[in-house]
Amino acid sequence: MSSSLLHRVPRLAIRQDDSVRLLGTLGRRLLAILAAAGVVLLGMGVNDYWLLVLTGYAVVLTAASGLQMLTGVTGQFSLGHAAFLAVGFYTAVVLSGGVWPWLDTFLGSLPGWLQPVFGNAEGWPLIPGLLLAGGAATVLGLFVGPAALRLKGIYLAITTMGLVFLVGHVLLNWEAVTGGPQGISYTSPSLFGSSLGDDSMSMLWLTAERKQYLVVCLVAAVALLMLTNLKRTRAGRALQAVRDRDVAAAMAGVPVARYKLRAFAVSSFLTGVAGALMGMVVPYAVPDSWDLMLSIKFVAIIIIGGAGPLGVILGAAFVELLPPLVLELGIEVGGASPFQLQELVYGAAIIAFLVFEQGGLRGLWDRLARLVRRWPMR
Amino acid sequence: MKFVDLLIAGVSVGMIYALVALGFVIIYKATGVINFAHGAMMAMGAYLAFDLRDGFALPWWVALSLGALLAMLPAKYLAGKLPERWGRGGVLAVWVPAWVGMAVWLHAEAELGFWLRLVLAAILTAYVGIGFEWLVLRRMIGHSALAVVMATLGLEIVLRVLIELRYGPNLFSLDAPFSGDAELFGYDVYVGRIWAVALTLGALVGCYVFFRWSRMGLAMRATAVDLEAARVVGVSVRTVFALSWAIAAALATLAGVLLVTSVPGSALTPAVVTIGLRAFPAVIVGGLDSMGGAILGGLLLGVVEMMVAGYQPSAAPFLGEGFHQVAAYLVMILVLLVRPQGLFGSPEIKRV
Repeated sequence: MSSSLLHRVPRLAIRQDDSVRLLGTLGRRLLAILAAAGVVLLGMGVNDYWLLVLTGYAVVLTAASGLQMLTGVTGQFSLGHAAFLAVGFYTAVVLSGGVWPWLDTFLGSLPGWLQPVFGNAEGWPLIPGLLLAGGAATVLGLFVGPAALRLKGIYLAITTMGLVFLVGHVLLNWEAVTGGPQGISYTSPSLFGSSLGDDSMSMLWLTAERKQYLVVCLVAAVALLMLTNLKRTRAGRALQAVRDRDVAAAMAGVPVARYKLRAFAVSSFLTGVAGALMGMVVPYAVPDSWDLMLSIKFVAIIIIGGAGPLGVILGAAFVELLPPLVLELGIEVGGASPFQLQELVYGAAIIAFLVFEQGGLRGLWDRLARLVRRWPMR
Repeated sequence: MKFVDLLIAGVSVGMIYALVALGFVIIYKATGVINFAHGAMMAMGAYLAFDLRDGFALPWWVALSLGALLAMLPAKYLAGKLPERWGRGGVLAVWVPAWVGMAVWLHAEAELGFWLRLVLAAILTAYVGIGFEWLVLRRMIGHSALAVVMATLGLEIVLRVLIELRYGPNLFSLDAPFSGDAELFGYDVYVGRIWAVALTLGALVGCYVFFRWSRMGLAMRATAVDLEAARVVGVSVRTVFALSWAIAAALATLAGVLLVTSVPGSALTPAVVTIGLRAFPAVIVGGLDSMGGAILGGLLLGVVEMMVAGYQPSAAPFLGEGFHQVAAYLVMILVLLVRPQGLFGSPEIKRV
């Protein structure tokens, strides 16, 4: 019965230690394996259109995890995430080459053994690119940091909303990077010297779409794991204390300012990373793409989804998979485009969930789980 | 004379911003909520004012059912004023004529003048505000303020998409009965601007009189200071909440319409929604809980915007095109960093 891999793993969480460990029980390990297998099988099974939809879903998951850390865990309401996404996106665009010649010369002059990782001949270098995109967004996030320390709740929301407008203004005027009102196109990243945007490995089933899908899923998984892991750590508990009552948290010895800044930094890092990957589904962007509506969409995701990583997964599915489903099923409502219908539905869903079920989809899920667990008792 | 022209334009835009800001402050003081849907309400009011130019002309069954709903409010209000011995029949006696009247009115097809359209649009938008308060906010009493704010965000999305669906990106004219320039102290001023300033002043004075001297205004101020104490002395908090949303919605309509008519050659576009969001700095700089501050903040915002629009392209071209649209946000962030409660707001004191 007890193989070495599953040795001494409890089936159920019966002690505090079990429920605190990340993959502490047999059920959770199996679930993780099944999820990973499901992601891969889905990538192999569906057609290119749905692959693109799922890639977009994974990008949104990454960014929404970032917002969840800030808003859901730390209680800092931000409407500024469109700005962080934009910074990440344009970092990738700049690294793709052709924007700043000195950067291309510098990357080209690196020694040959560094080329597979850092060179941008085949597209922007994925690993350093993601780190840089996250880093640039973090710098912007720390620029708002002082405001986050002084302002609470609604004032912070309005300040971060201002950030979206200010960044939008910069994007519109910085034509060298963003192409101005005409916009600019995005090229795929490269990993270990081969572009993710070509079919060079298609004999291994790895078409361009599948490669991008798997990479984005990996990043999203890391983001979700970070979010899951947060509640097990000292930092996570400190952030929750800051959310629930910051003065009391300070009394208990939590350095409130430091943790708020950290939450902002990590959140904007993840969002910047998602921004750099966003080009895989939005290959062409104008400055207006990064408007307040984009921020509101992510706020909608975490309201509709509810708390925790499960909330992000459910909420993002609700918001992001709606338009393709509407298209697929051919539903037409009064001449509304799928995207207008999407906005209409999530606008109404925000109100409905806030009034009837503040826990969001996650709350509904928990209720269902309780019902199943206790059946036939009530 | 560039300076004076810019000043006049700035004041007229600023008065409209003041109107928007006042709407925010009224709702914030009464219910403790920032209304993110204010811009959408402005746009809705303006579009309704456009859409009513041929009367409502609704099919009779829509007119009858909508009329029944709309007649409830005046009936409920008037029923309290009737002699007691009329009993329940009294309510019906008010409601039925109101219903029939509303239904005929909604069904009729007639050319409506600009001013009538403005008033009707304000009333209809006020109904939407009351409806939102009644259907959503009333059920959220006791929830965190942030949750309620997010609900208004949901309303903003819904209203904006509905407007987009019905009207699309087209340009519409509101057919205002004024055009051309008038001479004022030796300067040529667009008549729409004069009307905007005059109407806004009228609305502001009206609000002041209402809040200062009327019984309901006193009740609203009392609720703003202490909700529970106001309830104890018999203030109907429900009415106060509903009324504050109604007033704010009506002011939003006025602001939305004036925004279009006060600029020569401008037309109604979905951009009105965004302009509602641009008024945020006015409220924040003035202080969320200060009506005077909101008005001053609005004026300041309008003048700053126009001055920047007039001088920045030549004085500081490196700041880029359209900088005046975001300059106010820069000012706002700076003010917030120095005085988080705004220039005229009262600092938040919290017991832990």
